[in-house]
Amino acid sequence: MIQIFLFFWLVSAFLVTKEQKSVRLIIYLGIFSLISSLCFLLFGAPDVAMAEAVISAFSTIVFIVCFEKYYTLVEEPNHLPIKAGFQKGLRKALPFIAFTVLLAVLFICFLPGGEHNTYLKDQYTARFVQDVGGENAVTAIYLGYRMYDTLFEALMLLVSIVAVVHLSWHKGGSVTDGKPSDIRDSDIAGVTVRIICPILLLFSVYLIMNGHISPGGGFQGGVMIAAFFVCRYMIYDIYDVRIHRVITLEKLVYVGILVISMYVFLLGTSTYLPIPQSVYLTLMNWLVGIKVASGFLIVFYRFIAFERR
Amino acid sequence: MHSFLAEIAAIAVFFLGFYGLITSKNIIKSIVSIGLMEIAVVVFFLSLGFVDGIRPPIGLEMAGNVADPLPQALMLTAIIIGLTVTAINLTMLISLYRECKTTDWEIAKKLRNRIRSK
Amino acid sequence: MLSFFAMIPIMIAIFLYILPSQRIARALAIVTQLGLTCAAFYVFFLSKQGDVITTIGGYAGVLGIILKADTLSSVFLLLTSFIFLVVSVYSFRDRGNKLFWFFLFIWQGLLNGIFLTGDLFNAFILIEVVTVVVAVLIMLNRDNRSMYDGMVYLMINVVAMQFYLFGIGYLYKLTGVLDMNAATQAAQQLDPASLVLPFALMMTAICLKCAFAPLFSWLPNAYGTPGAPSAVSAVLSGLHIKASLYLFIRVQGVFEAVTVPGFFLVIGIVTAVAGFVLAVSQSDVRLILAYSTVSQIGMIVVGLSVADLYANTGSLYHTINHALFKTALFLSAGMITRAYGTRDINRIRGVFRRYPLLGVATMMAVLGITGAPFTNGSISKYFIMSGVTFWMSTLLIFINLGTIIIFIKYSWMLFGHPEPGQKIVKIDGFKQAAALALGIVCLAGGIFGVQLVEFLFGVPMSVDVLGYLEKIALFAVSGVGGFLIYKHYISKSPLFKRIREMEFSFRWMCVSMGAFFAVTLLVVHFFQ
Repeated sequence: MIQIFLFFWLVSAFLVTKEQKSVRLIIYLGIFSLISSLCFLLFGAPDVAMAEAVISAFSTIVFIVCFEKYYTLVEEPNHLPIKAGFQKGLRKALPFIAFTVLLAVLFICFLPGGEHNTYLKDQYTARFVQDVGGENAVTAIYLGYRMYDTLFEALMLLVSIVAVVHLSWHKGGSVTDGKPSDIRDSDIAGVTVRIICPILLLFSVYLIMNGHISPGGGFQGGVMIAAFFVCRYMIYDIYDVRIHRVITLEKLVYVGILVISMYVFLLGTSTYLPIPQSVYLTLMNWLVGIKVASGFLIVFYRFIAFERR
Repeated sequence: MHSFLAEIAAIAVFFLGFYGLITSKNIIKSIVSIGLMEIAVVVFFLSLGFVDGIRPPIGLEMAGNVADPLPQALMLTAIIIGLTVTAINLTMLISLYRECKTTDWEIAKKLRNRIRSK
Repeated sequence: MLSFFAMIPIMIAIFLYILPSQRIARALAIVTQLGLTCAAFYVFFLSKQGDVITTIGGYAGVLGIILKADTLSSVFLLLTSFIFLVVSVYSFRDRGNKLFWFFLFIWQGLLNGIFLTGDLFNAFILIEVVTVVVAVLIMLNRDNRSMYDGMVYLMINVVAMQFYLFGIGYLYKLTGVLDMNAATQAAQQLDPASLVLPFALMMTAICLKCAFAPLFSWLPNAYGTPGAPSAVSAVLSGLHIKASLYLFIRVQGVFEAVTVPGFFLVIGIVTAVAGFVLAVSQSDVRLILAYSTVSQIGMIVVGLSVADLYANTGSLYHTINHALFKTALFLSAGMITRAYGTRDINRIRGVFRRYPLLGVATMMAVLGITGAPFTNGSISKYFIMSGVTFWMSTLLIFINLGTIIIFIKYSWMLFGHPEPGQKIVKIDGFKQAAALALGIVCLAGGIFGVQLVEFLFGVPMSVDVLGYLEKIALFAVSGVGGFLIYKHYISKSPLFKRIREMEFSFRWMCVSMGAFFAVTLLVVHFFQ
């Protein structure tokens, strides 16, 4: 089973590498991400699979919106060495191919043998229920054992959003710079998205609420909430989301996460919390979810209404 | 055995991405190639300890073939980081495009140097 | 408790972003900086009695993330707090960007986090975030040039971090842990041959971040880009690169079994020479300083790679000294370029005449970096040289001659008469005070050098009076020699103008990274 998926995965990666045209490149990238998400599922990692699937869909949309607005980007040729005819291009690309193959061969020659050392895995699987609670070991790790990492990951999102907002500001830009989406004119897509939209929201709430006992959690649910807003924009083409408020909300939620985790760090393990562990996990999942959702929402709206301050 | 196959596939895709980096003159292509490398690393991490019929680390019963939860938690983080980096790169690309009207590394560099020598 | 060093500045940063009043925000910033410096001193004194360890969340064993402040990290913590305090004072009256303060504080929190973390994956996340923060700070003013520089900086570093992450993957596969101490212990049980691949992967990434030859071409443009605020360039060159060096030391510690010091010795020398050649050929004030950073990094690596306590300690002391004088140089250069309205070194003259305080600050820092007698640079360079073999120390003398030549070129702008017709710009007192304070610290670090080294690192060191006098004589000779070489050869040679134009594009940076990876693999395999 896994061999087939890995084969298609490699093929799609190859297609991405050799593609010249930007739009096709993005579509191949989407296919590549989808197949890798299926691989993750087979690896027994439904949380990561879900995150990858949602995120790849989201980033494909962001890429396409970006190209649609700046269509000149798309028409610019890629100056890949392969481009100028196969024979001539191959000769140009040959040193690079040889170099890469050499590196890969060297890499494989030095592969360390041996089995995967399962020291930490055994510890985590044996102890997470009483240490952190819940039934999902992955959630237990990123909200309990490695909460400190999650803090900086959320900070990454915060920083990148400030960066996107700052860098995308452009003098003389206006809201109407964005092209209205074409999806409303397409019957099939429009109707489908309209049906999917509420289900998406419901599912994301489910993911966040049950993050600690089943696959899913704040990240996946958060990105899905953002995807709901993207779909909503696509159907109705409205800008009624007040970006400034969302930006402030995002900061405040981050401060909330920071304060709660500082409290937990000071206290020691979350077992000493005055509230039940499952409540703590759900609360953190919600905070992370809102944080991620508002972050991605801002990114998306910055890309469609690029220049507005 | 299957874990080894996945490892080799991950290395292959990692270097496909690297090949994309060293041959493309287009910035978009470079951004996409970095994404390729990222996902290759993710596949490698998740394939650690993989055997056929592995179960996700969810539920109270943890005996038998359970996947390692730690790489999954790490990769969740890495994927989000990858996406934010892509978003920033794209934003910078658009800003650069506004200034230079190009998505070509070489032309952008030349324009930059012209400004420097002024 | 140690986690607060990372979290408090981030929290303050968000408050600074939300606060409507700029004046309150500034006051809050300075107060926080003072508080953090005190806290860093407290941790430093605690760490003298033994490592300060915080297990985040209190989980047993290495399940959670463990933060550790030993002597090295607490010294770096202290340095971070001091440099950021000075930079905050420097930027105190800068009108303008709220984002600058926001990112400055986040930056500080992240650097503290890097210096304290004992976890490899945690370090990965911190580095990724700090890369983005720095990229945005470089592009803060959003002119065309800094756009390109920031973009190259961000992308090449992200590519490097993919190598690092792959390395962590293999290390985790082999050792089963992510904590640095636990990984070190587990790695000792393993066959060294199996550690070669993770070592090469992680070292490629870290060497790129440390800007070793041939991977430094992204550095000068990013660190010296004219669009960035000069405070940012100062922290970048002074402190930010030290975080990478710190990781270099730490990761080498994890891979004790596979370390090949000779390899990094050669790389250090090549880096130092390449940095010198490129620095001399520049004419942009900031680029000269940025390239001289590369050359100094090379020298530090030489000291670190020698198996000798004196050289290692001297090298660490030089790391700190470099942070002090490079920050002073960048801050004063920022003021000078603003006052003269140009960055071209050939058009700036007579700083002493017009801005005497600024001139004194620059001069003190220049004396420090060239290793003039009784400055901190001389002490650290003396220690490095006393720990290496005769041939190495001869080589180091020549490298130092290179530094002297760079800074003879640089300090040319202090003397002479300013071009007539330039209007005199008044310079902010806070800025001058910040630069002067750093200059004075440079001098103090030289006069109380031995005591300071003992205080910081707890290593008893001694300076041989005769040897020191010999170094003074050497300095005088190389000073005169450097002056003559510069005057009669370098300032006229057309070769250096051509070197100035040389620069890797993004593709070739990636190629050189791949080549570096391959060479590291082979060298470690054959010469281990």
